[in-house]
Amino acid sequence: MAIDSLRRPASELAAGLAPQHGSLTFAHERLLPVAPGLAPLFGVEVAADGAPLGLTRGHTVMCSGVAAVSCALAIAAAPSRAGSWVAIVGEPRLGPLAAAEAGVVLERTVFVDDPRGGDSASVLSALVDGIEIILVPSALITALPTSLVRRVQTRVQSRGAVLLVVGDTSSIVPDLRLTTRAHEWEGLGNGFGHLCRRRIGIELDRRRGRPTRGDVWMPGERGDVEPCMPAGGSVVPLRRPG
Amino acid sequence: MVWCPAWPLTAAVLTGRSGRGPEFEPSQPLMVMHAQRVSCCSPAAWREGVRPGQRKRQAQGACPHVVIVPHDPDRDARCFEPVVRAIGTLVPLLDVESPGSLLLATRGPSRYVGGDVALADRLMALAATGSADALDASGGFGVGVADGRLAASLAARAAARAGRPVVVPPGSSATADFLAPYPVSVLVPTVGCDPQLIDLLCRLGLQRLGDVAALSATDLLDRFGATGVALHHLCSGTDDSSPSAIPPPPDYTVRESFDDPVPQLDMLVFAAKSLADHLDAELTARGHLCTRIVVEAESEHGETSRRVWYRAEGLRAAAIVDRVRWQLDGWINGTDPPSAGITSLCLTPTDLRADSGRQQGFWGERSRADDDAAKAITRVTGLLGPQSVRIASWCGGRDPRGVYELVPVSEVGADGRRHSERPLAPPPWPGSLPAPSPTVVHHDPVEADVLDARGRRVTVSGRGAVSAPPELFVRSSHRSTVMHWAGPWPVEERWWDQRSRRAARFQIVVDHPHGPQAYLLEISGGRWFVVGEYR
Repeated sequence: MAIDSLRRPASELAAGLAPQHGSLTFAHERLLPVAPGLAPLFGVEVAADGAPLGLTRGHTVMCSGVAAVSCALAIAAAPSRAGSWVAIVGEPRLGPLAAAEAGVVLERTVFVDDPRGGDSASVLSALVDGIEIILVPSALITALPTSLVRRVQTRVQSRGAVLLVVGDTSSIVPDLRLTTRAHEWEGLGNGFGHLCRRRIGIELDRRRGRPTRGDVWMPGERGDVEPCMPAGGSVVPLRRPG
Repeated sequence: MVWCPAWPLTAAVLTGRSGRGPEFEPSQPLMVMHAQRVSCCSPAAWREGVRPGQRKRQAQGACPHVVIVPHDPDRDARCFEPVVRAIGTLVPLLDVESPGSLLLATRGPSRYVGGDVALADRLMALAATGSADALDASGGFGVGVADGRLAASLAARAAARAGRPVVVPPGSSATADFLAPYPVSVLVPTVGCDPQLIDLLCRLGLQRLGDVAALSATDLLDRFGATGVALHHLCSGTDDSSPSAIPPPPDYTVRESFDDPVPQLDMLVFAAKSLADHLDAELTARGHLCTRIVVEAESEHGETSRRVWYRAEGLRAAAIVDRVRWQLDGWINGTDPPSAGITSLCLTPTDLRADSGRQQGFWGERSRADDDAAKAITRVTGLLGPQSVRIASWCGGRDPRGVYELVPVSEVGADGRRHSERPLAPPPWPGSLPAPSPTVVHHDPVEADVLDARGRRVTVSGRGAVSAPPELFVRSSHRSTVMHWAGPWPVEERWWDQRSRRAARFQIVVDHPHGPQAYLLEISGGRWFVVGEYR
């Protein structure tokens, strides 16, 4: 009898617990999918069915380095494919074709003009209310006073959205920092060929825990992320000295 | 079947009596002309020799003092509405064929009132309510009860001529016997048969419906195809297309009358809001959505503003209020304003459909995320303006700047569905770049320079030859070494008009402290531009 009660599915248990503990959310409800190519970096298993879950809702993610835009698009792509909406704020130069190649579903992507001045915070807050992935250039964050930035970040947390900051800025403290570094571009010779794919190194730094590092093809030959398989595994966790 | 032989004439008489049109006397000879022919005439005109189908000259030759009543289907429909409503009190489900003719399923109602004859009498009495002597103009209503649409309408015509209901006993043999003596030409007005087919039947010697019914269905199928089978069914009384009974459209008109005339727009819009809310709640409760609405306003001095508004997605309360505001704003603040305050405001939904638009779907339909996003987008559009939130729409082309066009969401709407058909396998665009595409695309040209080993600008000749291999990439006085390059890929677009453009494209990879960086460049008119960056 006691064992039977333990065997009940977790959702049933949650229904029993809910009255005492208020709303209960499961870990998988707090996570959004990540591209399979990035899964080792996020430290999650690539499941046979569906995209691996690894991106925590409510987090602020900063992508910096030479491949910052590709990296942000790659992160936005998996949730977008799973049904989330994406808002690209204040970056009209972002190429829709590259976004589509990266896997972002353009039917669920809106391009919002740069909300100049103090409006930025209210625009971001309004977007966070209904759209799960917000992609902003770092310049827009830098232009905001720190108090407003913090308010936006709190809002992102409470609504379970993800704020993707493209570029480096010191006026926001990200939960996740992805620093990219290009290794090589393949496909281009001297007067022949065309750009095929780029191998980049990404360092993923959470606020806690040790950073992970890995190499991926970004963009790969079709424009999306492809795992890079050098001999001996792709992800080597860094060790803190001492 | 309840049928009135010349309903337009009754409608005209009724309209004339209510003072909204010219007056006609029901006892005088009247006729309606449509498409150069007499479409119907009053019994008085009939006695003088006027017949439907005659030309005007023939009709006037037969009866010089015949009065021509204008042809107006709207008027006919409007006047028929009270009749439909009156009959609707006895039989809720009606099929109005045309003004002056309606079809109903008799089985239930005749059991209720005690037989087909009793039902027919009740229907005659109900139909005549309110238009008793105006019916003289058209010869009164006829009620026919029979199996099938054709037999019922023929029975109703016979009843109108006889002045008493005609009831054909049920059963296909009785129906066939009733139909047999009728000439085949009755198929034209009753079931909309092609006149050429009737002509052909006559020339084949099939003068009466009975002659057609006597043939075998197989022979008719051989000669006329599916039409022949339908013809055989009709003539032998086995047509079983029962009337598609639908409830008569309810009257949802909402009206607000002001005791004190209202001169200000704001107060009117406020009143309109409560009306629209009321209407919307009523429609929502019945699962309807209004797609067309008539907004009418009347001033104290009798000036009116009447306009029909249509919106394919449906008019909810907010949309209705918007339309009232637009209309009244245009009227009150326009060039021909009313001379006094507004005394009444009336909203009449005219087109309704089942409301199915806001259901949440399981697969591939509208999801909750889409609804939330639509709300957020509306809010941001309100903050920044209608042009500020845009969505990518596929155009195609070889230029990475033009493959997608950003169009304002306020124009196309954002519902998570495809706005322009993007082919799954894009057609080959000669000269387009293979994936990956630049992540940053400069729509406004960004000037740059590409130099060769000797510090001279690299140029491309008219025949597509590069002057020297690129060595140095200069952008806003920042120099970097070109590691790899490919090109030129000449682009010659729209050479047929003044938008023509010749350019050559290059991809280069330059050295950067954080690793190699790639650019898509274009040389046009001897100047270098950055088109895209692979960041």
